[in-house]
Amino acid sequence: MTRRRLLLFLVGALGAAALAYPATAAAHGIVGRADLPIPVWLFSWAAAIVLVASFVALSALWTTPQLQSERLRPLFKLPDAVVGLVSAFGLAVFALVVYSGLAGTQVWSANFSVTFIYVVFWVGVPIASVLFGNIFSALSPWRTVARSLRWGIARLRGGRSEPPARYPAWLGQWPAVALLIGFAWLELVYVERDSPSTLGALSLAYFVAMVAGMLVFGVDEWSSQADGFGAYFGLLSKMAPFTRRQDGTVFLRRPLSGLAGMRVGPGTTALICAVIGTTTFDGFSNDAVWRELEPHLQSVFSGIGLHPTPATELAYTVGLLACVAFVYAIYELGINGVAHVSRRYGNAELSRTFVHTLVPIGFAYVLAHYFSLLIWQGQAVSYLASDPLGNGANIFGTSSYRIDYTIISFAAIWYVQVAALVAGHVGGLTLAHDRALAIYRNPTEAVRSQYWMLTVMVAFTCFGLWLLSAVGT
Amino acid sequence: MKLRPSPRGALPAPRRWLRFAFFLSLVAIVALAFAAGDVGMLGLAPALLIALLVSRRRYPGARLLVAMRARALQRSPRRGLSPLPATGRAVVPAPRGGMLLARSLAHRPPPRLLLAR
Repeated sequence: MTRRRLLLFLVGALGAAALAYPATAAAHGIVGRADLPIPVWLFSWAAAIVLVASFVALSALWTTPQLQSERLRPLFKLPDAVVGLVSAFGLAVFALVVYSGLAGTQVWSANFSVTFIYVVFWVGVPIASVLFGNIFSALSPWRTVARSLRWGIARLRGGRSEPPARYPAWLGQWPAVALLIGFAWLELVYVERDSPSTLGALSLAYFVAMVAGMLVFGVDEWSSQADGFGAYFGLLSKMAPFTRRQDGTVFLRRPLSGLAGMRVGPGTTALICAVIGTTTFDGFSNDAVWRELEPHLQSVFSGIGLHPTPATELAYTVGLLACVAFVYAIYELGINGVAHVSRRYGNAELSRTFVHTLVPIGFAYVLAHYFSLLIWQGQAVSYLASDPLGNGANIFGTSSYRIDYTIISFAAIWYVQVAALVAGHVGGLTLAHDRALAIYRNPTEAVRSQYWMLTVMVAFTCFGLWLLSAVGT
Repeated sequence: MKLRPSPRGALPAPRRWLRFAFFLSLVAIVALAFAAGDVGMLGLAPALLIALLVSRRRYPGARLLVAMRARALQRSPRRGLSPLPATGRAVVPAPRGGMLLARSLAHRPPPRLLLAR
């Protein structure tokens, strides 16, 4: 089977499954969408019209590349002491997460570690990275410890601080892809996902593995290539209007311009597709389509002698990987189309060249999907911080606080989700247009290539909105 | 951004079965909406509609967009920001003699307008 046929098969299989099982659509995070003034599917049409209008405006008015260089403006120098304080804070919070997971109550809603990992860390840090830049490079506890150890080793060696081994270039970001999918598997598939002790133990194991890798291959290389979270948050931080250089100077730059200089190596495309695909599966796994499909898949695995729990986990694993493959297939189909426009570049080059346009989409998916979780469950941190072990403590005097579900209406959440999706895809379209202007000398080719990228963006927008609207809790 | 041109050239036009798949999906969505009353899937229709269009190598409005871009390039506002008057006659002469010496010794070169006089 050729690569192209395989892609079509993936798209077709998931599309056919979706068509075969019409969504009855209860809602996830948007329970009150019945109050919306127009049907949800019309939002998709409106979003598509916004994207087409953006495409026309970009093609006609955005005449020269604007985002191919960062154009940095120095703002101020961040003192080393501040970075040190932030690193110490990150390390202390990590210690609390591990300790509360292992020693605290095993009721997930009363334990600090579960809410912190799934809400603050998994949703809050990506948003902060897009707003303020790569804050995780300072907050990362494994990075802090590895840097300290490397500094100590360098002093013992008399100033030499080269890592003992070179990170293999062929490996690229594949370890990060595996770890990120592994985390998504833990969150969405594993039956013990809410167990604080499991999370505490896994956090500790991840910490040890990351520190060991950084000591062997170098802190920066390992954290940008093999650390799943370091690579993911680092990628998102390239959208930010701020960046910090080695000497501590903070620069202002055009938003999204950091993505143009993004290092694209083995596994980079897979990393971005994993972000979008795992978020897609998070929505899809609550959807009526999946609820109809999953028992059939599960019975296949039960038929080969597996117990119900592993059979369910295997069925969900297949679903998770299928969603990542589906996202990759959509992108590659679009790139295939771009390659048809001109004889100038091949598929592989174009795939690497335009992959940065998926980063805003990944963020849009994360923001749209987890916004309600962040707004509501995020409030739980206020009382869990006071009583991290769930043993009745009241350290900050906030343990009596409760989640206020009236803080935002369901309709408002829906509008934020739609706005996030549309804005993310307009951002992706802008990046793609800017890159097309930079690589195609012929304006007709540049414009035509963007019809394909428009197709990709509209497909991801409509699919994202359909997922949000059809998801049931 | 430097790219290596493809040695193989472009691939052939999108296959007919790809277009057929897009068309079939679109028909199925519309049929579901009208026959079964399930309008939720209509939200996917815009993507399929555009995909169907471009897979037929139709780029509606592309010529117009290119023409609009050319016009926008011609009246680029950057030209108005030039420190020289936009008459096209003001030519900056190459510094010679004393001016050349002064310029090479100066910490900061003289303004371009001064040189143009």
